[in-house]
Amino acid sequence: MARRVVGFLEYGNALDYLDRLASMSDEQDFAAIDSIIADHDEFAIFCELPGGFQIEGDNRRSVGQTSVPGGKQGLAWLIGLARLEFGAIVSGYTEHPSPYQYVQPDRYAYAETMQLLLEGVDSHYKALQQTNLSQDRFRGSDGVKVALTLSRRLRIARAMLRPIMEPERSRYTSQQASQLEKAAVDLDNAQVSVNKGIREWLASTQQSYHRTGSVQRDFINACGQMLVAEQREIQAGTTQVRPVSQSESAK
Amino acid sequence: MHDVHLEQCHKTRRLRARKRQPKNLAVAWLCLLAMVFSVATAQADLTKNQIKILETEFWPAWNIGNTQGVLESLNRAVRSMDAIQLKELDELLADREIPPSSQLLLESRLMLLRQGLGKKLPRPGQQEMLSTLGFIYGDVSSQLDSAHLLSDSLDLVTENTAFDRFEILLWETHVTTQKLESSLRLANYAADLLKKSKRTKWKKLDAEQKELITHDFAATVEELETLKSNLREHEVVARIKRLTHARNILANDESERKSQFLAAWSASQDSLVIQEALQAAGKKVNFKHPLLQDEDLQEDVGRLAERAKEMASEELLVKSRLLFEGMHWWYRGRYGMGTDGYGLLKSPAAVRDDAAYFALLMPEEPPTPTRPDVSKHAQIPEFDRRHDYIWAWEYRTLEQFDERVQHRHDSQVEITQQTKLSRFY
Repeated sequence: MARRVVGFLEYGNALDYLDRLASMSDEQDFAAIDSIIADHDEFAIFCELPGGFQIEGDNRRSVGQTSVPGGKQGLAWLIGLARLEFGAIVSGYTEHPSPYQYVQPDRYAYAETMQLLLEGVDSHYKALQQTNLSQDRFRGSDGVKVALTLSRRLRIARAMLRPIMEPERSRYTSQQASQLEKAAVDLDNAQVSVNKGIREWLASTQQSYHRTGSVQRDFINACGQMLVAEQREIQAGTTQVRPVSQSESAK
Repeated sequence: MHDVHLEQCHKTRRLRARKRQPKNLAVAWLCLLAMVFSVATAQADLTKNQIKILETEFWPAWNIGNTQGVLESLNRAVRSMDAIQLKELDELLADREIPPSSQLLLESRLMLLRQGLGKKLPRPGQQEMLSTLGFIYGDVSSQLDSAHLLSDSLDLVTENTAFDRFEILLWETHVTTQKLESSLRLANYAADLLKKSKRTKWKKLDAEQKELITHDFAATVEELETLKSNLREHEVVARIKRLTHARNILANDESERKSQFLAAWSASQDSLVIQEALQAAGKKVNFKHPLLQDEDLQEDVGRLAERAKEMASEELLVKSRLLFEGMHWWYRGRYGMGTDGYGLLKSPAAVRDDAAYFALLMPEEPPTPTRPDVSKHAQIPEFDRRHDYIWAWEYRTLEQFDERVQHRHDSQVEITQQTKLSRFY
């Protein structure tokens, strides 16, 4: 399915070319490259960090004049956005345990990527806070489709949060670190809750299958695979599923 | 409390407002629960069979943005409808802010034709055929005009024209060539459609409609081919001039780094395109453009390209290629629209077919992005962050499950089966 999502081939190739370019360029090259990119308005992007958060970029980086007010331009932003979108497709549509493995402090465009990740997590987290995750929502064949959808959204959000929580953590104030920790706990709990809905549906469907033999086997496997993907992340040590809190399990 | 479906509906409304004009089928993102179809009570005049087709085929296809499914089901449903039933169907669609059936049929058919899927489409009814032919006739006429104008503009560039002017003109050439290709597919389809149609049914047509069905689309195909070939020649001439400009820049040690990058890209890209065109023409050059009729042209251009590349250095050639090809892929990721899933997905054929995997609908003009928090109704790009939307595809993706392996546990009394899938999602 990843092959069908627009952006997988495109951002994947963009990263291949632009990462190699960054690794072989010097400061004079970067200045020329950023100036060429800045000549094209279509390469401007916008990024708004959640209130209070700041991530410093590389001061040596020169960014050309842009005619798009408030827009950010330059090679580092192109790479950052491509990493963000490509990683989201990989985390949502494959079983890869660490979709953002190349977001490392020693790599070019690290600060820009982190800003885009932070903005992305914030957007998903706020939306999920407004989402009804009670177990009765996931009952029945329509309900489990909602669970599968939400499970994918949670996998994407949690994958984005992972690099933010690791080496960057020391840069945040204690209040910001607490905010991030709370988001991580909430997202983990939500994932457990959604997966529980999928498991329960699978259990009930299995009984129904033996009884009637008329269930969609493909669909059952999709549910199973969603859980397998989770297991692979845990085994790879890239995630930790926390126990569901009392209040969550009571829903 | 919001729920996921309501969130989707909210996004639907935004999408609907944004997309109405250019994205033919992407008018709405209608969530499944809200679209449970209650025709039985509302549409007494539609027959049971028509209702069945709409309920079981059209709506599911519409909900997941399946263009082929929309065309096939609607084509079958409207075939047996009279004028009153068609009107009722259109009212039903309008209630859900969906375009009328005639528009849906035309746009779906054109979308699939542009992807080169003409042979797999159901035959249109008479009205649908007339509207399809009318559109193709208009589209081809406008492409012919714009290609002529562009050829004239390409002739005006010189060896001293700035890189950015070259870039604009060559981009326009690329877009126009793609459009000519698309018009060719449409004109071929129109010619084929007319060839296979039963002329006995054409007696009741008015004069304008008769003119349309007697139009010689086969001749139009030839005209388009000639124009495409002419445009290619003008492009080659413009590229030779840009290559000369690039060589001059690279020969100057004091050129700034930015110009060197642009010149190096021209040296590698233009020499490739020019030599491909010249080699395709063969030794016996039969170009119509006066500047391409020199017998020594191929050798001269070869020397020019070699000289430019030598002066650029291998390292700069590699860097410029990585930059411009990387930018090109990024641009496709940012602004490209797939044919399915309201632009977020490519067609199912993308899983097996490389051409379908590559194909995207791209904007004609390089767009200027809008601030996401300011422009709610006409946001550019359509999806500021794809990750905000792509998660919403759930069971629909199971279409991809196609490979099954059966395991038998003979040692047990009960025989169980296990389904193994070639890919997940």
